Amino acid sequence: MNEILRKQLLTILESGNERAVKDFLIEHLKEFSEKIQENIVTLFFIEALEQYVSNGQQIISLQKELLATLEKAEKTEAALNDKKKELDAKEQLGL
Amino acid sequence: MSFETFQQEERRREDEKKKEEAAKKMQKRTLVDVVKKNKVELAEEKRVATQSAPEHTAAKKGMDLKSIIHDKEKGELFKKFLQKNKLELEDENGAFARLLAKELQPGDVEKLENIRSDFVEFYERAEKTGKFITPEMTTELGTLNTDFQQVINQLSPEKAVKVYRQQLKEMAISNTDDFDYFERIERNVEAIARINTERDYLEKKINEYCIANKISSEEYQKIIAIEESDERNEALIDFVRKNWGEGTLKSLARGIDTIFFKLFSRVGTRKIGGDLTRDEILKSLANIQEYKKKIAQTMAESVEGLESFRIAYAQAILDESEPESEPRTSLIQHRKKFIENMPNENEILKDWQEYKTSLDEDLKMSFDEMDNHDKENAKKEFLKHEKKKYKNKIKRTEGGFLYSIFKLLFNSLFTIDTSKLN
Repeated sequence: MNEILRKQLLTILESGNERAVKDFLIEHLKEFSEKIQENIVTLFFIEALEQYVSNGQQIISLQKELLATLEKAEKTEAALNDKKKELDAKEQLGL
Repeated sequence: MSFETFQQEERRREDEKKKEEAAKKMQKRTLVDVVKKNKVELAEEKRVATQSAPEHTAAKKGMDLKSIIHDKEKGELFKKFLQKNKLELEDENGAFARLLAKELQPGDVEKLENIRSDFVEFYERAEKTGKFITPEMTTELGTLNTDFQQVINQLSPEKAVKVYRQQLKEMAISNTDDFDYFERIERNVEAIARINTERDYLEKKINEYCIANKISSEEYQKIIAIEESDERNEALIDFVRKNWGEGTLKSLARGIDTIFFKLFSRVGTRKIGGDLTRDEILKSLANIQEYKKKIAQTMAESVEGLESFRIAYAQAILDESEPESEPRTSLIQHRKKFIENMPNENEILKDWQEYKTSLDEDLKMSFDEMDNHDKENAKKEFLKHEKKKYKNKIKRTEGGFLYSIFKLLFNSLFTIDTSKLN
């Protein structure tokens, strides 16, 4: 790693600003040695992988929640229809 | 002898051995020849015979030692595995060195067999995980993570996959923090396979329901049909926030629960539902139908145009839980701790003064009295000690991307002007 690149990265790292570090690495990726480049892209890969999994899990749990809510809604609807039929029958019989 | 030379030499010896064996078959050994063998020679023969045996049993558990050494890629990795685990190769008199020199001793084969068995386990785990990583997969990951997309754009998905597969093997055979990265990848790749299976099942169920009930979301369809990507994304995020936000879904579920409660709860032995009037029943039915429609539409949206949905969901819902403008306390603490653990030149120079004092006490000689050679050695020893100190600091603090990057580039970033060490 050349000295300018090293100093710039160190300054950004010291700021603790993750966004700035990522932007710097993306912009200067090709300036690192091949081995370091491979390690950097692997770190980005791990992050993307974890984000994808987290997103997938959230959507699945949402879909499950929706299906369960829908099931409950159907059960409620059926019970309401039964009540309505019961009232209709009572009315027809003049009760 | 270098490892490469050993491999070439080994192949040459094998060819020669085959020729010799063929020649031997042509010769008949006399009884005298056999009798002449003393007990030591016989014991040696027995030992050599047992040394070749594990190759057959090893084959049952995967690659044998011979095939590992003869394969360029596996051979290199095996060598690294031994080095990283501080096994044998560093020791000139170790079992691996003796194997290369064809001077195995009793017990060596068992030792190498144990190492081989560990190596094969990690290698095969890395290969298995690597097979799931495809160019299509990396492209799909890029749709959710723009940082990753920019990285992939600089490499190409094919090249990236090649890098990841190789890195996986390197990380799997490592006994350092790299192994944690391997396990993170392995765990998440396995999770993707599980998610895909579960998602297929849920999508099938949702699709069946939506088709049977003629459910579709026109509004959503219109949005995902917008050609201009920025405009589409913005509309999607608004849509998802409005329709999929936790508040919206909770209010739907609460609405259903209220009606459900009215119908099925009891006061003593009496069902509350029994007291509902016709108007109340009709109103509840209308509400339930409206809720059902909204839920079903949302379900349809989650499977129609899934990719757009994922992106919008990631941005609208997940970002909502971690707003940039108000970083969580843990995030602030995390950054603070990271900065505290960064090597600091003043602190290093302070440590140097303390180190010099300890040297004076131990050696009964001050640093200034040392000759240049000893001075340089003392500086080297001190820097080694400091690097270890900061590495341990980092190790003790778990962290996100910043730590990972810092750990990765530690050796390049940790430098100090040695002329200041006086």
